[in-house]
Amino acid sequence: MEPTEQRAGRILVVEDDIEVGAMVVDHLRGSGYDVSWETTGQGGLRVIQEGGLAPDLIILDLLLPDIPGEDVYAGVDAHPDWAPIPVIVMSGLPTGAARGRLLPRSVYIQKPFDPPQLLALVAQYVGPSAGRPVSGA
Amino acid sequence: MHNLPFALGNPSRHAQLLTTLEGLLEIQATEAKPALNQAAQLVSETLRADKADVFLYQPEVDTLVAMGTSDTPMGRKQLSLGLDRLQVSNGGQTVNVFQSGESYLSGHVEADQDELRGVREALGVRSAVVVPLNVDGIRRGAIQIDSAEAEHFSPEDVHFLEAVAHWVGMVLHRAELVERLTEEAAQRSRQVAADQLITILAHDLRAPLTALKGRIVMLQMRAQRDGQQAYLQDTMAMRRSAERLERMITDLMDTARLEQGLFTLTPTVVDLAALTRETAATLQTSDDEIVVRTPDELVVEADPDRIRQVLENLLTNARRHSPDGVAVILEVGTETRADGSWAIVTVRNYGPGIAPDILPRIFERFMTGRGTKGLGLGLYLARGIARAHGGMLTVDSSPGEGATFRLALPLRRLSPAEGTAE
Repeated sequence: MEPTEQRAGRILVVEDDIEVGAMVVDHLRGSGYDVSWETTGQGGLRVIQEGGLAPDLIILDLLLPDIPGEDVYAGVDAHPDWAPIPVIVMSGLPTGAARGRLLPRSVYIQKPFDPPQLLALVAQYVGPSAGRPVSGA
Repeated sequence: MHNLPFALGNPSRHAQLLTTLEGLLEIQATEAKPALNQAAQLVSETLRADKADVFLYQPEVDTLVAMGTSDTPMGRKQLSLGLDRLQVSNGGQTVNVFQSGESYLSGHVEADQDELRGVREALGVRSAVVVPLNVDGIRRGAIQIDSAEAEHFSPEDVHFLEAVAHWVGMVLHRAELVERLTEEAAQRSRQVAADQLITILAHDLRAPLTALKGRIVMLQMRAQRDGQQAYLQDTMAMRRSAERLERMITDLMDTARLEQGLFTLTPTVVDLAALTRETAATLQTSDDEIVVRTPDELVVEADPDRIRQVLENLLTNARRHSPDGVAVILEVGTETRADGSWAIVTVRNYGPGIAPDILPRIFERFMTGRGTKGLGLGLYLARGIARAHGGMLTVDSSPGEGATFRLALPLRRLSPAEGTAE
């Protein structure tokens, strides 16, 4: 049995709107998560490329000011350590329109949402204190 | 031929007709009024008249109004005398021709007791030809030429003027069509601009609303955790306001999408009877407020959230207009007609009924009735949802007899081989 490391679940939020982002970040941190936040698509890509610790979950806004959210998703997909990470996609688009842009291995939440809704969704993928097997490689 | 003016020499009738026609065809006939003025001017010149008019009937004032008059001394005098407007009730030969459809020729108007005194005496008309003017088969006025000289016009001039009247009728028809199409196009583009604005606005309002709702919920959770009753009540009130705002934005976006043909549903197999019962149950505040009559089960193919939206709208409207203590009746059933089988949901209230001037417009956008909060989009969206399902939403109402709304959804008929739906 591999030793597991007890630590706070790590979440990366990529959201350009300051108010929405701050609200989401505060809410998640208040629930015990370790949250980092990028306000641009390029910022998100940079985090991936810098090779730091990969998060347990990514919350991604599709409508970003610099590059489309899909491009950030592609960056996640292309990185071997990041590819398996689950992605929650946030969008103001209605369900029908967003369907056309739905990315594989992602789940979709429509704005405006209640924070408890988001929290419940996040908890399906990572608890506040995530137990993770320590990588043996 | 002795009436021909010296200036034109001695042209044949044929050449005269040709000259006039050539002149008429050169008139840029896209706007009615300038075209009529030019036509009147041309006709007065070629027929050697002291005045030529195109009179058009204006029904709202029951008057023939000169919409085109030659720029001649008699023409200007007619204007100053107010004889460019002929009330039908006053009679006169122009009115007679308009009403009878029969042309008029006179070489001694001064002796015609049926003609208006103002025309005979103040204007000094001695000869006149008046022919009826039809536009697209409908009599719309009359064309007239006058002269201060007796016996100035001949029967051939009558035929000639009738031919001109045909041309004027066509020009008017085309000019009116162009005017109407231009106005419709302008209105459509205003409409599209408005819809785009609604979409952009509603979309931009969503982000701050998300943030606001989120903070309100966080406050609410904190107040609950800390047992702060006063804060808890305030945050619950804030949350209700935020949700109302959210509904308005959602309704606006749905409306814009309906207008732009981008409205979509996610249909699934639904028990309409159960859905109706559940919706009524969530809205009931007392036992006999809504009387529900449904079969045990009625399966349709529909988008449950959208149908729920329609039912909630119909039920809250019905309840709002229902007198105290009088129930709203909600029934679900089926109907087989020539055009197929339908699931029918009726919502009936016994209130004052819908006013007859509002009834034809009740499904239009932004129709806020007495005491309606919100944007007045509920019924418009409800009908849009019904239609998107291939169904219909209709209403029956008369003053004092309440109102019955009927939602019809196509019934999914299962063949024996398909078996039963879940």
